[in-house]
Amino acid sequence: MECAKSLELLSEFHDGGLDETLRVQVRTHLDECLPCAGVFRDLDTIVLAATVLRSEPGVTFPDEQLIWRRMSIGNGPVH
Amino acid sequence: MSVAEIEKTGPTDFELAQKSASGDIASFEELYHRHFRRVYSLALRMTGSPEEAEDLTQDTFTHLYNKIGSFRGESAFTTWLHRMTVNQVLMHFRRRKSRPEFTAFSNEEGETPVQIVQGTENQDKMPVVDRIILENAISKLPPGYRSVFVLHDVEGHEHGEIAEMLGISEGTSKSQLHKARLKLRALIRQQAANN
Repeated sequence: MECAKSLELLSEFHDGGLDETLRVQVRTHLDECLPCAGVFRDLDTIVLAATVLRSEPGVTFPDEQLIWRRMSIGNGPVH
Repeated sequence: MSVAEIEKTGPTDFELAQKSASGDIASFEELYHRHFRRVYSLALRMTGSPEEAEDLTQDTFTHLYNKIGSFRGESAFTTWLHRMTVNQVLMHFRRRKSRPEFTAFSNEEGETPVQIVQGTENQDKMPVVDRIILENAISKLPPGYRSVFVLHDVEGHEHGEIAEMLGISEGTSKSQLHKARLKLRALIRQQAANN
């Protein structure tokens, strides 16, 4: 498999979305090609970091009460 | 108290929605407080802007108030509200699409395609990707890439669900996700090189 084709399939390979034939071809290519294997490791790092983001929101929330009051729900039309 | 704990000890979301639909403002306010953080977090991740996320949170709950009577309990309330939030963000993207500095959901994205040419790539190792680095990079993605990445890799949705939510094909969702990941990789490496 060529590098360009391998790079195109890395996300689907990572997510388990390839059929068996393509999966083996990409796997074989990654075993032989250091640059493509490096890209694959980087993508895996990003996906893992995103998963952590899901469990640790780390968001600073605005004033909930202020936004509620701004909506004026119950004090007339909110359209 | 977590949402799950509230659900166990108090009225369910469906019960609150039914009371809200009958004009019980206190029930709607309880729904608002239960789901405020979830809605704001999603809007923030999809827009990358606290100001826009705040406005969109307000828009989403205002829309929810007007539509609460149409919730029949066929799906989980959180799923229903999640879709409503995504729709509000997408409408926001479409409204600002007319502004030249923004594009959303075109395949082109106004971006130079991410390409990796053998031998020309910076061989430096990928830095450690912590929350701040990743959030900063996500905020720099074009809206279409950002939406798919957030919905798939952060929120954990399947491509079929994303396709339905965004009105795109599953193939486009997969393609946008891959481009988003590659773009993030480039942004993170570039950021590390600049530091």
